[in-house]
Amino acid sequence: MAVAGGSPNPNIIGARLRVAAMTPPSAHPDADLLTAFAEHCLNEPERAKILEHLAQCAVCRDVVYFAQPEDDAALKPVQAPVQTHWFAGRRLQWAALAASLSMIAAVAIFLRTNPERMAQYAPATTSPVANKEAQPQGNLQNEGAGATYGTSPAAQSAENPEAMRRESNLKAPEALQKAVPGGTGAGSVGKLSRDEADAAQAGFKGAATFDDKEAAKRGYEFNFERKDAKTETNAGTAGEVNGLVATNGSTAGDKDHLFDLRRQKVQGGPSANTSNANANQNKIQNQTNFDLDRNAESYNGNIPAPPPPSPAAKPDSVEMSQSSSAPASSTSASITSGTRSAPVQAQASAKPVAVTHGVVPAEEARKKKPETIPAQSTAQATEETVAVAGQAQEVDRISDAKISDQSVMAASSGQSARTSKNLPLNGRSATTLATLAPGAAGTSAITGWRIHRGRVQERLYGIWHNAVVGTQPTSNNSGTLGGLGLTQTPQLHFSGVTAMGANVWTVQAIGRGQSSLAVYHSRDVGVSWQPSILTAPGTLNPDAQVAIKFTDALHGEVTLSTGEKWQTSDGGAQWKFVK
Amino acid sequence: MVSKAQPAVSAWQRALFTELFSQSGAAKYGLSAEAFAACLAEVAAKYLSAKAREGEIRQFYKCLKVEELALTRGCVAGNEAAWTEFLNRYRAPLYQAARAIAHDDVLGRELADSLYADLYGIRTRENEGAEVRVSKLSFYMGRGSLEGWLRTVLTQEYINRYRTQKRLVSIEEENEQGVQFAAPASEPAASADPRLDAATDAALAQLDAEERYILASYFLDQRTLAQIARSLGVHESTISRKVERIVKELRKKIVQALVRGGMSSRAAEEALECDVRDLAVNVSEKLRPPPVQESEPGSFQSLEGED
Repeated sequence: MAVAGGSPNPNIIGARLRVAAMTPPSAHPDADLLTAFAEHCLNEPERAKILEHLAQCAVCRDVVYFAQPEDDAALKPVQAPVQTHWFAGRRLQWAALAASLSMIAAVAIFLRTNPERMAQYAPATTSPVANKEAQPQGNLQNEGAGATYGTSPAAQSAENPEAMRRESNLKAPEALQKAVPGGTGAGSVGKLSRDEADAAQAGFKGAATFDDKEAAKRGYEFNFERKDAKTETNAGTAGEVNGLVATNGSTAGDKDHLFDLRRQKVQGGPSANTSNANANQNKIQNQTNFDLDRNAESYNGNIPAPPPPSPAAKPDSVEMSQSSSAPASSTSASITSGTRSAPVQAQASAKPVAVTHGVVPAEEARKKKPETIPAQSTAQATEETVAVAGQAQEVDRISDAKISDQSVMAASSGQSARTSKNLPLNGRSATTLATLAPGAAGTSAITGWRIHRGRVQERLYGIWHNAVVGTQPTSNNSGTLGGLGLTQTPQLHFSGVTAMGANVWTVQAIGRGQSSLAVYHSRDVGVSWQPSILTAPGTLNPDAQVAIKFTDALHGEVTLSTGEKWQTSDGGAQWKFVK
Repeated sequence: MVSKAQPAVSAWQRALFTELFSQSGAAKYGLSAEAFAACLAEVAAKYLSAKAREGEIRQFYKCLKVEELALTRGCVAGNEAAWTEFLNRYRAPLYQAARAIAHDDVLGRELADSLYADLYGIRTRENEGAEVRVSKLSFYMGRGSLEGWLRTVLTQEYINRYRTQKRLVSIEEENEQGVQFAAPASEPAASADPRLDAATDAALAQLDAEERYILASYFLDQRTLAQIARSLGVHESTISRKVERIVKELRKKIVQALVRGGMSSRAAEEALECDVRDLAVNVSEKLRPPPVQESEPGSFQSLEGED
């Protein structure tokens, strides 16, 4: 016990206490009272008397001290007073609850009264248009070589479309600096708030070429620098940002719209997308998985020179019709994220770009064992179309003509850069690829489809993503997706999915009182979907199990556990009720 | 043991005694209800004032350890069942407490055995023409637990033994303790300001009993905070805060008293920083028992030379 400084000398107190103890009381309390005192059984007057005596009598103090049990079993447990937390009060708890509710209500009102915000934060699953819009169409020219898109290993957000969408808002921060007015009118960028834009500008300012670790680190730093740090920023752009040009950036004054690439028109329609579907998927995978390529070489531009950009691929021309296939080997650095249903359209840039997107699955990133899919293909490469930093490098062995959609692949294979060397199997499961249906492995990095809680999910490099099953009923906008033509059947629940190469069929779950089923067919690995209605003579049992299977790209059937069956012989365009 | 005076017992008291008799299990020790009621009345007469009200008396009786009180009274009466129960229940704790007090197994067992003799009552006294065995258990009044009471009695016995045997220290033991190298008695130092003594005494007198008990236990007995806290039934942090607060108040009061006595504030502060050895009071010398002649170094050396 440390006596506070400034206190009187304790020896003085002890000395005077000894003086007082020199005349001890003649009568000592009996053993009963001392025992009762030690056991705290005395009433207050008796306790005061005993204390008065004990203050003077050292002998009785010794007796009390020695008489105490060692284990305190006979004594009442001496506990420190319970210090209740100030927030533990029932009233304060209710106050906290009320405050939380009011906060939620305020946010809801704010979002409702601010439609732009609401659109920005709308869930991707409920708004297909928003998904498509949120599709990072950041057709950015990477003018510098060796631009590296090292992203943070927080690849979990790849499964979060909203986070990815918000990340896409930062995909062209350097546009503030360069503000290339090459954006077409179709690409209305600008949903990023001014704060975010400013923060992004500040965050990316001065960013030079980083290696992967630095890029990741800087990415995190940028996250902190952002004023609106609700999402993980696009750390990938922590690479050589100076080399990135937002081709769709309007003007510097439009920086409010500079980073919102959701409004940009997609380069190429669905068909064009499918021409490079695999590239898009790979690109998305690269984006969503937040590459953390440890291979410094790959980041430093040791990548085979991309094919010359297509002359049709102008920075301004982001509008692409379905008929006009996009150049599959676009070298534009598409800093994209977003959902799988919104593939990135790489845009050809004027300068060759050597960019690498390392792919790190979320699980592996968490294990800090990132794996890389460098741009270079290896000799052991399987047939794949690998979208690397905006360019699609289709690996050779396209001889698999089993791919159902020959036209799609033709568009892709004809223009893609085929490099058959140095594409490692690292990062991909050869076993998984081997078990795929014929044609699937050759065209897609998607290694599986499933139904999860009523949602269609696709497996991209080991990560399951929700696939937005939408329809594109018309191409009234010159066939552009742009935004716009996609509609999604909201809140649909699916009960079965099957894939055959690039063809994917998914069948809707049966609702109450429903006499028909909807089967959605995608010819481009889930990029676009076309519905077909399977009508039945009577009401279907909502508890019936639905199964769909295809023996090839044309012949398939949908069966219910209650006995109903539909068959198709044209790939799902027409279905015939059999039983 | 039967009390001499039988005070008037009201009806509620009688009902209460009957209830306590049934609770105590005194019947199995051969005690009648009347004998137990007389025992209870004796306890109340010892600790309760004559002006105690009914509520206080009821509360007092309720707090008594009537079961253990009946056991001791059975032992005093020589009931075999009571002694069997007593030995079964308290023999081991008694030896354990004795060992803990004496810090030695042999001494502890010896201490416990001596207490057994007193508890059984080897001494007799004449009571109404008959020789009555005097048992120490008859002094147990049931205010605290019997085990605690036994520990207290053991402690008192141990202290008495220590006091009586302290002077009987062998020369070899003193030699081992280095008595021959004892420092010469220092010259009495110059006395400090007597006003400081008076002010300190006055400040100490203003403290209540518990505060003085805490200070005495802490500064005089060198007890730990945990030991003091256990004796008072509070947490040791409470004692820590109390000690700090009491010392601060003491300093404040002493300074005020010194200032009132004509001392400046600075001088009062300096006076508080004086060494206690500067005080005129040599308390330890006065509390210490007179030195034993045999322990003088000179005599020790002479005895050693004689050997």
